Amino acid sequence: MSNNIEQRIIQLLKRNDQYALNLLYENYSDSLYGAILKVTKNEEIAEDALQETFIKVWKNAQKYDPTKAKLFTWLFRIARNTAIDKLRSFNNRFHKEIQIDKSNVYILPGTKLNQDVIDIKEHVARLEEKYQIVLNALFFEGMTQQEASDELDIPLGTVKSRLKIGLRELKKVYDF
Amino acid sequence: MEEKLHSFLQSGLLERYLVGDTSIAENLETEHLIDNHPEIAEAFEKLQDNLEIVAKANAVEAPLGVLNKILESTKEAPKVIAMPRQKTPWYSIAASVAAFAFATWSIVLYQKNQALNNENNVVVDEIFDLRGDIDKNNSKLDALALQLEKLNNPDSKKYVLRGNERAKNLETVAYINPVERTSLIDVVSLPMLSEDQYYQLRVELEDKMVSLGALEDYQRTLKPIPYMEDALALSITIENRNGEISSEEQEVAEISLKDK
Repeated sequence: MSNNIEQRIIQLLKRNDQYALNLLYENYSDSLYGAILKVTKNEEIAEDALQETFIKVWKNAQKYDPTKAKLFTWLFRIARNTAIDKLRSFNNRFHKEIQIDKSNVYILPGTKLNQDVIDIKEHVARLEEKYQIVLNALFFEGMTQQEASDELDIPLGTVKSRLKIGLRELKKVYDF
Repeated sequence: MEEKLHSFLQSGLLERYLVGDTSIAENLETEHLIDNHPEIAEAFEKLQDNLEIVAKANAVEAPLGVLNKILESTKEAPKVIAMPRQKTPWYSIAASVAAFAFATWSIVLYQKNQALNNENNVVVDEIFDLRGDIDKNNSKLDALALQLEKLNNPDSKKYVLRGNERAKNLETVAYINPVERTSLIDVVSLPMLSEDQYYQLRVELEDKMVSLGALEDYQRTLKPIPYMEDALALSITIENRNGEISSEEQEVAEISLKDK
């Protein structure tokens, strides 16, 4: 993400300028929706959670501290927690026992990367599933490398190397 | 210290902090380490970059229409200072009605009070008049009692003076008590005279006639007259107001006091 756009969005948020929401949605909605969908596994709940995420972002804009975390990190935390809350609420409504954020019951998604994201289609397609699984476990499920190693039954060294390779491949796409 | 930092990086706490899966205490510990150890800060920076990359890689096109819902939800409500129609509370109405009733009642009471005050003044005046009347009546009663006492006194003598042909209707009664030396006269009827004439009551002594004053219609009240010792007779004459000397012809009634 361009640092300039991030700075612009932060300024607009601090000024309570609603245009910040347009820019946030334009630049981050797909990434956040993807992350939310991984938690909820349900498009309806995910859409609801996405909407609530942006409303929370708007309402809590003044609390954002750029010195503590990047804008996307802050957005991601809100989106993830909102998704977890929505899923819990949904499950409670149907009297289902839920354990959504525990690694031992987490169902690893058979992910298929978003084919519609501009410019990354062929790059992502090239990223092997074994790397995607490791990346998702570490970044979306909040597993530590050791937990991912245990859960996926992969040696810790392999987790580390797959993480490194996976990130290297993705970086090629975004040119960080 | 190096080992401690390595241990921290291996603990996975930084990764959990990244995604917001840490407690407040863990947040404080992690932020402290990030602020004070450049290698931790660098690792966190890298993790943040990686998170964004992975998230982008897993991006899914957000559903259409969500942005509009968000903008609609976050749109600031127009700050219209609505002037709500203030509903008058029931107790205000009750208080107003009560105040009005009291005000009306106060006016009625005030008017009644004024009327009673006026009536009271009238009654006080009447009582005052009545007391005056009572006093007057008592005085009259006393006088009458006195007169009656005199009339009923066995020593009192009654003399009736009747008019002659010049004053036929004249009738006057004199009560004389020689013991108590008092005299009363009762003018029963007195014929009308011309304006320049009047009746005079006279008493005859041994050698002279003494005037006892003009005789007027006393409305049947007993009038005390001076008592004359050794009076021989009482007479009534018609006198002229121009001061002419009376004559025998002017005498209209006479009665001797020596008869009884």
